[in-house]
Amino acid sequence: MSTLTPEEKRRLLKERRAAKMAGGNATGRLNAILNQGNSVKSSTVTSVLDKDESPKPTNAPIPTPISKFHGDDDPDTSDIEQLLSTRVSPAPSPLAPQDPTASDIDEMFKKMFGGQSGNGSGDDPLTSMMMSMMQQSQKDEGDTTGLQDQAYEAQLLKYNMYNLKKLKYRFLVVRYLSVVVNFVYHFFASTTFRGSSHAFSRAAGMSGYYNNGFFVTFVSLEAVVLSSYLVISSRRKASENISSDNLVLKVVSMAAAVVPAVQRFQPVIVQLVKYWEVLSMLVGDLALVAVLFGLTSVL
Amino acid sequence: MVSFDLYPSTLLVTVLTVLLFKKIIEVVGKKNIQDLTWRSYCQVAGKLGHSKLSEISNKSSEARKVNLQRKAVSAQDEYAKWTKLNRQHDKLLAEIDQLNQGLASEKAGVVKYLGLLISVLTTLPIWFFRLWFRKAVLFHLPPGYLPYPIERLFGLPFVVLGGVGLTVWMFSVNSVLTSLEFLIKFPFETPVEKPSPVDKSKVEEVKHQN
Repeated sequence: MSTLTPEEKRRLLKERRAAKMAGGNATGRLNAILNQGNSVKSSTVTSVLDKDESPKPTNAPIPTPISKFHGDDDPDTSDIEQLLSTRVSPAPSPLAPQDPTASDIDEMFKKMFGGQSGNGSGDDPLTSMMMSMMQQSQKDEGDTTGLQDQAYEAQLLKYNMYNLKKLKYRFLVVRYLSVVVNFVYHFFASTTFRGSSHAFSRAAGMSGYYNNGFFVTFVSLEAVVLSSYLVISSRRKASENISSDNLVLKVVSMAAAVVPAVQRFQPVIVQLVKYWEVLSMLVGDLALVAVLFGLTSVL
Repeated sequence: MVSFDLYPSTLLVTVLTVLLFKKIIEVVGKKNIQDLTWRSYCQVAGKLGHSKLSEISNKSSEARKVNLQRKAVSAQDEYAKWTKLNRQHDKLLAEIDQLNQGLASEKAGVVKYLGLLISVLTTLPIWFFRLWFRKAVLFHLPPGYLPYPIERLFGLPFVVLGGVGLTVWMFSVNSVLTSLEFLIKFPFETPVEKPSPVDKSKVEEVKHQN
């Protein structure tokens, strides 16, 4: 079979049609079409072509490249069917040139599904739709994995925060024990080491002798314990990637998202918050010392 | 002019007691205390002859008896008797519910008085002491054991050097009570287990199987 372009096929079809009209018997052909499918051939219309007296070109030579055309007879197969079959048959590749009508339909499909397909022009719209559906299902599965990751991260953060709390608890026990033991030792070691409700007892005790044993011990123990806490908690926070449980740091990080200039000060603020935490521990221990002196004043 | 004076030691112990009481209420929870008070009130007032409460008490005991009888009877063997007891039990429960609804306003009154009592015992004394005894020296520190800056710090804001005033005493007691609360509560907290990381190869395997 010779390969003809669609334009050539259309031209041939037109010529054949013209040749048929020139051959006459338009009424017969019309009645044959109208009686198609009827058991009784009742149509008796007259074609306008037979009514028309104007001369028609009849002797012009007609090229017949297709072998199925035999003179005045209708071809064995309908040319329209051939034309349609050439149009309906799928192109060998998506990039093959297509008929304008099919290309219009393809354009329409592309417009409908163009947003979902990521493969660019020239793709079969059904294929692109299937691809987009597969991508969506992969994304859903990815979302499930993402949700699992999120749940894991949340649980890990909870675990790390619990560990930090446990660390604070242990250091609180050590701090309080060290202060209480130091206080109790000096309470029993010295008769003047106690609080008093009366002002005269303080005046009487003012002998100019300064006994700094308790405070030196207190400061030494605090230095050791608090510096250990600072080092260990910083390492844990860094290794376990705990951003913060501190309100100030949360506010600063939110502000940094809005005002980028704040980001420059973020490391300084983080450091200050760490030192503030340690300072508040020291103040808490001093408060314990005050309470112990107060309790000894009523004994 | 009204004069109200307390010994420093009395003031110290009173403030300590009030703050301790306030902390206990905080830890237990106001709602729990309200519920406990209402239950105790219902029991006591019922015995003392409160009409609605005694009726509720009677109906509750009757409902308990009927429930025991109903459980003792087999529904399959003695269906009629079981149904009768069941209906009686449901009726008693509905009556108890109706009486409880009638007591709602009384409960609100009890809760209101309880809140007032808590304020009188905790918040009011603290504010009174802060105003009336703001310059009082609760106790004096022993000389020579603490350096000057620390003694100065303990004397803030109104008290002489070497003395400890109400402000510092209240702050210190609150700080110690908070730490003690943490020390007592933390061992009873549920420990958090370390989560196992998501095995991505298994997830891929399941995906392919599906």
